[in-house]
Amino acid sequence: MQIVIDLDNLEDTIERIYEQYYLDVYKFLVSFTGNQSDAEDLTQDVFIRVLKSLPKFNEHYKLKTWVLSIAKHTAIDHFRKKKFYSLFEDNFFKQLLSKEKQPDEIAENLEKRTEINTALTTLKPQYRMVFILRGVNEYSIKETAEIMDWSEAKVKVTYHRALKKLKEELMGKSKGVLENANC
Amino acid sequence: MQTVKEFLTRFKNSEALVPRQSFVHDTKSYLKIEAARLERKNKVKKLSYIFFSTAAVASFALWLTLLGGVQTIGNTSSSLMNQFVVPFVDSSGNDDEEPLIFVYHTHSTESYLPLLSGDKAPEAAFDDEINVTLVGDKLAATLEESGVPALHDNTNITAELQERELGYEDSYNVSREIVDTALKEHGEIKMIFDVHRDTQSRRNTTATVEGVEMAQILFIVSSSSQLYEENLAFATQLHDALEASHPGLSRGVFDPGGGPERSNPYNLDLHPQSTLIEIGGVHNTLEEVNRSVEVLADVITEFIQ
Repeated sequence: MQIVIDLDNLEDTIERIYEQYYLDVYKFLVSFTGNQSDAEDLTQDVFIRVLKSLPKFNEHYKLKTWVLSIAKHTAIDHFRKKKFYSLFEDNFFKQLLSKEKQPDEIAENLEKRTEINTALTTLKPQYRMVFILRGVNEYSIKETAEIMDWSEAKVKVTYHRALKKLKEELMGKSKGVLENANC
Repeated sequence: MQTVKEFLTRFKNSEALVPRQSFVHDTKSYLKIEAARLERKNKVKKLSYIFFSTAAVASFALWLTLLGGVQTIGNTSSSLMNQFVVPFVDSSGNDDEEPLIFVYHTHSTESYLPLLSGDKAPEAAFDDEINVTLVGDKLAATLEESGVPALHDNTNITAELQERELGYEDSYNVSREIVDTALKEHGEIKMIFDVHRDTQSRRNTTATVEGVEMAQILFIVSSSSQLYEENLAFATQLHDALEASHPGLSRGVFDPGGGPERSNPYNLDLHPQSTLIEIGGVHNTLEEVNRSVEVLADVITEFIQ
């Protein structure tokens, strides 16, 4: 479906863009952060940024990769902020941030998070992004290159490295379990 | 290696990759509100600021010097207070007369931004005191004035929900009890109105009829009500009457329909002549809302007689 960007009708335009891409954006962000509430906040941020940047959109971009590149920037900004917080006591800030959440909601988040987080979050952010875009969102090399603003060759190489790292991580985990079992 | 593939397959099918339904819905509404706000801002920018400021300064000077503005300033604070302290409708004055109209509010804390202090976001336009129950008060009072006995219930349903530890989605279950009781106690009730306010942008909830800005009215019916046909006929008649007297004031009759999780009968199955009614949106002023309520009361009065 071709979405028409009508700057005189932002309401309909953003609604169409949102409906078309919210799943892609959410999937990318929840995989990247490994956390539902962060993914929700960031998804909103992304579409607000999209809304405000619409006048800058031009025909040279493809809407899909343009929206996802905004998601990429949002994720990177978030990663930097997180890194800053984690200089302090990690838990302290988490408690602050999720104050309004119900206790059972927190438990649910944690459960989902641990499953996702385990292996993925050990990857460097750029590896993680490329892995998610290619592996989870199932974008082509060309699309991934456009979103990352890289050459296709760099996407290929990074994806392979990410795969290798992930493999090592998963192997290491199972080896650890075996060793523990032997004790 | 098998592990990564396995991991990826399990991961891709993981429920955690799918956003919560309510989040998806709320975000969409939020974006639309933001878009409308941005659009308005852009439009205003296009107009000349200078024109407005000159006009404002000129008229202010005129008001101060010629029209007794100085005195008015002194009185403003008290008149502002009076505006909010709309008398609580006391139907006891007409105790001998059985109410023909019943007005209530399932979302009783829905409010209007111009009435709230502080710079609130549209999605935060809720208040325990200053809210849509004022509109119900006004509707009931106007009806009483024109000789139509009306009963208004201004239960704070949100507080009730909190007390019973229920969620917002249970609002209609709680308001159902209120309607049930009213119908049991007052057998003469001919019409029931669940008065709400809309969340749409100002441009979608405001009409200019004969040069006067008014809060638009929208009738909501539900195909999952067992009395759908009757509800629809009733709402349509009211819409037609409004259309005849004030073209454009009513936005029509709307059935939100939707999937099974959204098919709520909105308690309209309790009475054939009942409807849910949105009067204005978050951006409308009390004056705009009150003007529409007066017209609506006229139409209802005509209908009853």
